[in-house]
Amino acid sequence: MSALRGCIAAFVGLVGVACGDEEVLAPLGGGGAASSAGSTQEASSGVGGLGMPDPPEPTVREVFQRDPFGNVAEARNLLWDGDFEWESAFGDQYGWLEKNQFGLRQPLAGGECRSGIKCARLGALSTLTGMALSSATSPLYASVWAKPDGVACDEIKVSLFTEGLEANEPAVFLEAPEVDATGWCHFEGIAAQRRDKTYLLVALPAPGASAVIDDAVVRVATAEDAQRSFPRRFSPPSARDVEDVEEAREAVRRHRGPREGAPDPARAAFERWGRGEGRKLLRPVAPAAGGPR
Amino acid sequence: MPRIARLVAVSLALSGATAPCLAWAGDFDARGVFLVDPTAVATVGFEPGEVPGANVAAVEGPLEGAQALQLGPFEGVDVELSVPEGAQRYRASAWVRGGDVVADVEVFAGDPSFGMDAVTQLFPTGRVTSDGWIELANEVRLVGAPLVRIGLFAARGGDVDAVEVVPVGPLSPAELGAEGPATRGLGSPCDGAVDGSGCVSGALCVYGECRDVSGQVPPIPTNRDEVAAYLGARLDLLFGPFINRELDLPSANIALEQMRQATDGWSYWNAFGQAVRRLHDGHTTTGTIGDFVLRSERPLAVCFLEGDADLSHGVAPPDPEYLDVLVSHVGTDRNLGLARGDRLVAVDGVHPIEWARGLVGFHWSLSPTSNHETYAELAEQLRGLVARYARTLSVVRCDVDAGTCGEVETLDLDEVAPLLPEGAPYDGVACDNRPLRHVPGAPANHFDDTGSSVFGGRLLDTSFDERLYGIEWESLYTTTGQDGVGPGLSEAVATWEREGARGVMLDHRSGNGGTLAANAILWSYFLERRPSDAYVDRQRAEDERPTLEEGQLIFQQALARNQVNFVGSTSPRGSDVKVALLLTRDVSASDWLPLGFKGAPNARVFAPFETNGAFSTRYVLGYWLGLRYVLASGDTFLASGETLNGEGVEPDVVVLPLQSDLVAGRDTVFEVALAWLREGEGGGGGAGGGGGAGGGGGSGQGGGGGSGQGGGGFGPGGFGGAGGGT
Repeated sequence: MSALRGCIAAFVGLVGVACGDEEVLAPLGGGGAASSAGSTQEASSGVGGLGMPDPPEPTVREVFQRDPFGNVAEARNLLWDGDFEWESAFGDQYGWLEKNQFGLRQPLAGGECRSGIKCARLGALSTLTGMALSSATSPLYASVWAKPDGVACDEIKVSLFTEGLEANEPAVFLEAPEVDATGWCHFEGIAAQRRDKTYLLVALPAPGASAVIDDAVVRVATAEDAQRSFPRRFSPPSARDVEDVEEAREAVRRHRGPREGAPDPARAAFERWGRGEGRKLLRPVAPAAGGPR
Repeated sequence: MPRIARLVAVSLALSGATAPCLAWAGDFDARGVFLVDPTAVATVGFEPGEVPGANVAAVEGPLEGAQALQLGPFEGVDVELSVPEGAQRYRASAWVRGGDVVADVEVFAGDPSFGMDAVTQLFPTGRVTSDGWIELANEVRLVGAPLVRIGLFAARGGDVDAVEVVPVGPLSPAELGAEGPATRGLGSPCDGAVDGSGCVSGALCVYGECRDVSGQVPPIPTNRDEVAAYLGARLDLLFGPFINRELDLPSANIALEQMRQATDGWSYWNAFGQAVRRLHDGHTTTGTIGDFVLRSERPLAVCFLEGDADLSHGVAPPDPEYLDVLVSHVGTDRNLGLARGDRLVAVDGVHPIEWARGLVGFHWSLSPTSNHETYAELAEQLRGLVARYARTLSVVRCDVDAGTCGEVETLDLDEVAPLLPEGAPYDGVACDNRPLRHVPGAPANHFDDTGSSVFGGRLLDTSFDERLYGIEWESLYTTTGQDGVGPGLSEAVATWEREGARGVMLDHRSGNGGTLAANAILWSYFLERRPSDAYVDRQRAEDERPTLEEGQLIFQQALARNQVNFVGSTSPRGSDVKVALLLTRDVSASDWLPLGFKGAPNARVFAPFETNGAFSTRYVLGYWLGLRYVLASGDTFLASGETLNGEGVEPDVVVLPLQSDLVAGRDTVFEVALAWLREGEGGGGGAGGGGGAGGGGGSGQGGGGGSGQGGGGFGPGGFGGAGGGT
């Protein structure tokens, strides 16, 4: 058990909440500080004198403890940033392309994500392409989680394609069984050893839908992976699926090579802020000192 | 919130139970209601009337109370806090929602208009909520009674709530410098950063004072070994340049090992930063929030470049390893009385380049070079580095009229007056390796305010009949030809064609890179079309430097798949126009620019030494805007099978700036190139130029004066075959 998991387990043990195994998920709502909360609620609530218990107050929110650096257990992840934790508003050239342009259009952060702090929302009719590597010696295992909104798992198309100097291997499509109890689809699969660079493509060809994408992994397949059976696609990819792959392939070709110095309004604004320009100085009325308000 | 106090006892007990992990302050009750820490010395909840002028609103699901602060895209505010006097360690935290909201604690020991003394960025602790709130926190060490502000900036807009500053405990005697091997506590004066400042752990000698830098990085992660392994694997798996993998990855791995022994956040993260910097690549960089918000209190308006101090070797012999460092140009004030041609002999007693190389251990924004021979990046960056980390400069001043230089004298950087309060202007100057400007409209202060300017026209001090033109510019960024420098370069080409240019000076001595599309505008005008090179993104996890035969095959495969970079055009309109390309410091597309010109019969590259050799591109990995690293992602192949990254383009004519020229107001590199442009000219005769710097019309640079500067000649040379060397 990692130090973090140990830490969380200790915490969870105190508050009586079960702890997830792989990814740290320790919702405190209904459990966090439960003993104290319970006693306090008893002390501070109650409908005076009627002897009737108060109706339970609604939960405001759940609180989770995540690894702030994401799924680092997959140290040899061949994606540049599989868990999106190093996504930045400044990243003029980032390890993901959305709609075939560098960067994410709708980065997300917080409890909505499955692992770590950050993830991506994929809009309808859009694609996410993750930059990865291949292995010269082994097949690849790939995995990505998607939480669909308005579509079923099988309407999200996940594939591994290659682009490089050799003849392009056909794209391998990953499948997910039904959505799990937490609303996530887990796409997994294995691709044969390939020579060209590998890319992970997540496409959402359905209109009027969206999906949260998180915790993508591409790594050298292990012997255990080879023994597993992954869901397989029984129907060939649609023309649209093939078109999405070809467009993504063309995009990574187009974006190859140097391209420093692109205008970066977010960075420029941050630099101005860093220089103290345009900052509004706010002074709390009651000096914010001497304990909580 | 009357119930809070009754809950915090347990909350604190929990916090204490997890002390070795991510300690936290404010906590949540069973329903998920946030509970402010009663021990906080400062809190801000942005409740009604609490913070006048703040854009607060009753947002949906405020973390605490009824309201939160709302920030629009690119908006930033500071919230002033008051904390008790003392020597304390605090935990500062804020909850944010909506993405990359930067929160930092800015510490001002004196008048805030003079700039902040230390900054601590708050990073995610891992606590998040189902309604989108994310906790950011970090430890802050405060000594005395400083002014403290929480700085907030939202790149994409966001909400902020529940700011807290909670005391953790007093600073230890060791942190205060009262005991232990490091005897200079936070805020103590110090004597420069490189040679052991004696500052306490987590502090660096910056601007003459031991300043806390530990807050510029996150705390050590609780799963420190996993994080270290993950980050180390990024370098091993993803870093693309083959020569640098061979030569530099082992050094980076040694730095990575320090992550495992680190005892504080700064040591841990700085070990990773150092590992990235030790990859020794022009695209491969690191950065922290300190690069954005800490500014020099005593900036210098003096620009340096490497050259040949031919007038002063008698008083200070040349270094066997490094070139001399000379003053290129200065602003009208804040220049220490130095002038063009004066020499910087040493920084804190060490050769300036050797001194600057020593900063790789802790200076996150050090400019890198892919080749292992040259230091133009460091020379250009020197004025900022010495202002930040040095105490003394050893200089030699020269007399313009007499053409002689004096003895070595030592200047204390404390002699530079502190900046006036914020906003008061001073006459700054940009460093671009151009001692003088030579085209109409080029600004005297060397600033390119737009970042994409192309200054051009007929070369100053040449006659109309010579028809010699030039451009001076830094960026090569354009995607369509209609953005960035595209229009400026196209307009320059049109001018040369319209006015019948016989020779063109491309002064790109400060080359910031860009795209090959910008290069193509120039290549197409001057050069016959030919295949040049093939950039290949790193393909496989196991790839290492291929043999020449394998490299040849890769190039041929790229050619077959239309992935080779071609330079030139089938009928170049300027093929009979002589073109001189002037270089000193460059990266990426600015490396490719001379690569395209190499070997062309009418083109010559004039430079002091090879180019950077950054023949790749890069991907940017940023953690909450402040902490970031950038890795080069591939390498470039020639038809010969050689890989290019790590070995720059050698100049056709090696020419070093001469101290004697600079003192006399001459720009050596320009003059030598101008002399070549004028070779074989029938008419005109030239106005002005030609004096000094090789005498105009000779081959290669005259003099040499012990700098090791070779003749070179004006032959075009093949790739890697420059005449002479440094």
